[in-house]
Amino acid sequence: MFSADLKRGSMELLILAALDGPPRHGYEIGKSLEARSEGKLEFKASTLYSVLYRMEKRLWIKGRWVEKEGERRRCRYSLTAEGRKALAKQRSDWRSFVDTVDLVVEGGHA
Amino acid sequence: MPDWAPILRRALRKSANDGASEERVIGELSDHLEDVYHEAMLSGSTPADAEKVAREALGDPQAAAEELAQAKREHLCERESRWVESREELARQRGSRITSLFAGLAHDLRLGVRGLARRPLFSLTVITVLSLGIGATAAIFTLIDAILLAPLPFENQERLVSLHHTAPAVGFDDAGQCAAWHTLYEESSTTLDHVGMFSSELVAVHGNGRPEALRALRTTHGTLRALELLPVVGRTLDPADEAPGAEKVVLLSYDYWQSRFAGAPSAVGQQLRIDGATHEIVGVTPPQLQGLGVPSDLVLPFEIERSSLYVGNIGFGAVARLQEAVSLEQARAELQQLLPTAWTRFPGGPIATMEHIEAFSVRVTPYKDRLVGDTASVLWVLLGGVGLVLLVACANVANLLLVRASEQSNEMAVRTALGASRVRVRWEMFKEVLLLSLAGGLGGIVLAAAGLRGLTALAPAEVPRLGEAALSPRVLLFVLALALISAAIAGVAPLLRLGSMGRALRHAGTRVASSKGSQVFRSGVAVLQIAVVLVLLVASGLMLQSFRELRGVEPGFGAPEDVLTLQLHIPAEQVPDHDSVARQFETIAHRLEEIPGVDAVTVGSAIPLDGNNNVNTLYTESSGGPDRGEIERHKWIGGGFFRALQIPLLAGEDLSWQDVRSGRPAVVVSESLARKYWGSTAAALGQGVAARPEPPFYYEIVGVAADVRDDGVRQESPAMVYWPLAPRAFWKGTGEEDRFIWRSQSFAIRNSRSQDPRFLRQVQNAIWEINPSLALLRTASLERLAQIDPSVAGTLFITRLLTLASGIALLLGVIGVYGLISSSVAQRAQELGIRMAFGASAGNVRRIVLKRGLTLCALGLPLGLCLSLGLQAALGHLLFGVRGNDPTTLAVASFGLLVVVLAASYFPARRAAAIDPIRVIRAD
Repeated sequence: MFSADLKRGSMELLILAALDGPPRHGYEIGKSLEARSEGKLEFKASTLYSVLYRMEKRLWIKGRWVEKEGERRRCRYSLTAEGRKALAKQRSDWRSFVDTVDLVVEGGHA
Repeated sequence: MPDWAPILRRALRKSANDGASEERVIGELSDHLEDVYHEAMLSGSTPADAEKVAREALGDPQAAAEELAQAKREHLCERESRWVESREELARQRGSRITSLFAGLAHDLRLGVRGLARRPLFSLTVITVLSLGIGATAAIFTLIDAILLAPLPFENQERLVSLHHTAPAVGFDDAGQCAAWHTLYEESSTTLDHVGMFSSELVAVHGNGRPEALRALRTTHGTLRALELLPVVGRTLDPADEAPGAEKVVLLSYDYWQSRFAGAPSAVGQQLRIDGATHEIVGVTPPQLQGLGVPSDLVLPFEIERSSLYVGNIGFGAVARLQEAVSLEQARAELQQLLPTAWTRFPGGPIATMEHIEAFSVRVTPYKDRLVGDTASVLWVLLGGVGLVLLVACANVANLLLVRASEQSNEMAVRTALGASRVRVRWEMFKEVLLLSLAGGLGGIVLAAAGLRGLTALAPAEVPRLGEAALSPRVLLFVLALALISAAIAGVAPLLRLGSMGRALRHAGTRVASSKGSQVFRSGVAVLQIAVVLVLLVASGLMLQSFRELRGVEPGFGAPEDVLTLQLHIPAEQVPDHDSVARQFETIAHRLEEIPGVDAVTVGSAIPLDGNNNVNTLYTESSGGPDRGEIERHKWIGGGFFRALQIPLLAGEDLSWQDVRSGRPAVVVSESLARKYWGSTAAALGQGVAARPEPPFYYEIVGVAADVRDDGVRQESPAMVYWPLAPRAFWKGTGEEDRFIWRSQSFAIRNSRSQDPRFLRQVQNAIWEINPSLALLRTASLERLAQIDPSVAGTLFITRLLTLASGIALLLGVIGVYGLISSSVAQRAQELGIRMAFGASAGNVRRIVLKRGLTLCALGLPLGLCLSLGLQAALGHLLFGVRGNDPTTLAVASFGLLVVVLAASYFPARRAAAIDPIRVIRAD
């Protein structure tokens, strides 16, 4: 749908947003993004997990192995305090970026 | 349902993950794929379709693994950055900008080192290339530092001057000093503080056993005073030591004192038998004396009898100390004014006509310049040569960096776009070049240290101050400067290309190195490399030609490898009268002829190439009495001289021992002397020549010998007069009792056993049978003398080093061209593929690529040829028998380089021809 570059560039923000709630495991994160984007954002598992690892190493998210009754032992990710800060900053950056791009792209004739 | 773990494990094994993280990845991805599979099954897929969906959802596991590894590495950098940021924050809080700067710098360097360590092949290549260039340049600079830049080890050495005389009009290009001039200056100069005259000689020192040959500095007392050297123990030389009949004294050199007397002060006062006479040791000179440039074990005073001085017997060294605030020119003007008075003050010498006197002028040069002599120009040429190698190396590095810059351009562009300052981004880039250059500098120091050993071993023996060469602080500074300059040269190109970073963003995907401007720049660099390599090839080719020409010069004597030469000195203390000296030399010659394998033996005051030469005025017989006389070279020879040395006799006969014994007034002259005075060899026979004018005592020319390159092959053969070994009535007198002979004579022993190590021992024993107290001085084969002939040895030295330099430059240059064409093939792969798809044959494609190499040559070679024309100025005086613009050398070097460049282009061309059009077109 969107180019791989564009998706890759914004993936961290997307994942941060997807985790702004209860802990989720990787498959759930992927599904959540797919659902919220109405099927327009789909990621390969390999891409998704590599970004998750990178974010975990940045201490934005934390993976915990959780066992639930009747379910397999899964690694569930949640936002850390730093992750929340990053999400807040990236959200505002994103908005201003979009506004700026809008200004240029839409208001170019002004 | 498939078991995902082994599938993933196989995929991940290809990358370098550590075990723990690999297990985690496998676990998580397996779970993920299982979920995908289940979902697909739930929506009604067959198991096979569900597996397909899951496999597609995985993506490229290899890429995943790599991204994970990358994430891990980035994580490390990130941690570093955070650490530094916290430090910088801390520093800012402390209000210390300097700490922050250094923290930033340290961080930068650490990141730089990490960055380079991540690309070991690239880093190692750049460091090796720079090390080669910097090392070679530093090694030569070490010689320049020790020989040209380092001051002499004397107080106020800038006031030390060398005195010598020239009279090109009468055949003296460099006449040195004579005792009369020395005494004149010493007594009358008001601009010089101390004047010294010296020469080097070999003496025989008799210990308990056989005599030992030692190097002696024969000098007046003024030398040590001019150098301001105080004795380590005892006293220095006094004027009284020079008086005729004075007690014989000797000073020991510091090293000889250490080795022979273990540095004991009690050595002073002991006796030493030198050349048969007892000398008292009166002092020890400090080690700095060797800075005079005359290696010596002993220091002996000259004996100067003022009443018998005359202008003649020229050729000594002279050193003087300028008075304070006196310039070279003031001293020269004063001495030049004094010079003509020498002939009236000390009359009776052989050089006495007004024409001669007016022809002489005095030269006052800084002593260091005189000591260093021609070596300076040789060293600067070599520095120029290795400097060019460094330039080629820098060009290679610039190319490599440019390719790397292209790889980083997108990253840098994004960073700039995200707000990193341009300065910061550039610094990031330059920092890497700087680190590489500094590492290259370190490697260069190691190479220079190793190269220095090779250089000192290769250098001709007469190069002064060679032993002082070492990696001094100045050399280290020079290396640092070279590293910085290299960084600037190599780093400027990628930095300039960064200027067009904005474009990199706009043309996302196109790379800096593949942009047109960059291609032009890289091609320009390659063209320059080809030009510089050609200059070096031509230079070494010219030197090689010179060396071949020198080797090809007919020396005038035959089979030097079969001639053993040595010198003997018979002291007056042992054999007082000249007749007996002559007889002893003859007896030794005959005894040596009895040794098995010896074909012929002769004696002479000098043999070719041994560095001895004598000049005197020659008077020729004419109808109206003796003419004005001209200064000519002379030798005094024993019987069979020309036969033993295989010098062809063009007319008449050789001198025999019978002639020498009987005192027959017969003489042999060289071909050029015969032609000069009488027009032909035949006309010279029967003519009379004398060594004195009033009254003349004529010797009859009985033979004319072929010319001999007596001073080395680079010099023209001098015209020569060969007098008998002990001529009578030579300087004075008329009869049998007025014999004259030099007490030092050279022997030439032609033999068929030069490879036999016992031969020299047999020669020694034969001489000691006749006189057990003679020391064999300067034993060497005539061939060895020819090899160490400074003109040949010097040319060989330069030739070897320039050939080495041009070899390295050629290699680096070829690598540069190869790299350029290879990368251009890689970039044009698609275009070439399309051409092939449209029917271009492999041959067409090969030609397209080869044409690239040809174009580089078409620009580089003419540029190199233009630059090569400057070589005549740089090498002119070092060349022999070949001119700087020698067309053959230029043509051979150009053609050779063309072939090599085309060969370097051929491999990329072959690769290009093997391109699969379908694959490259699809690849986009």
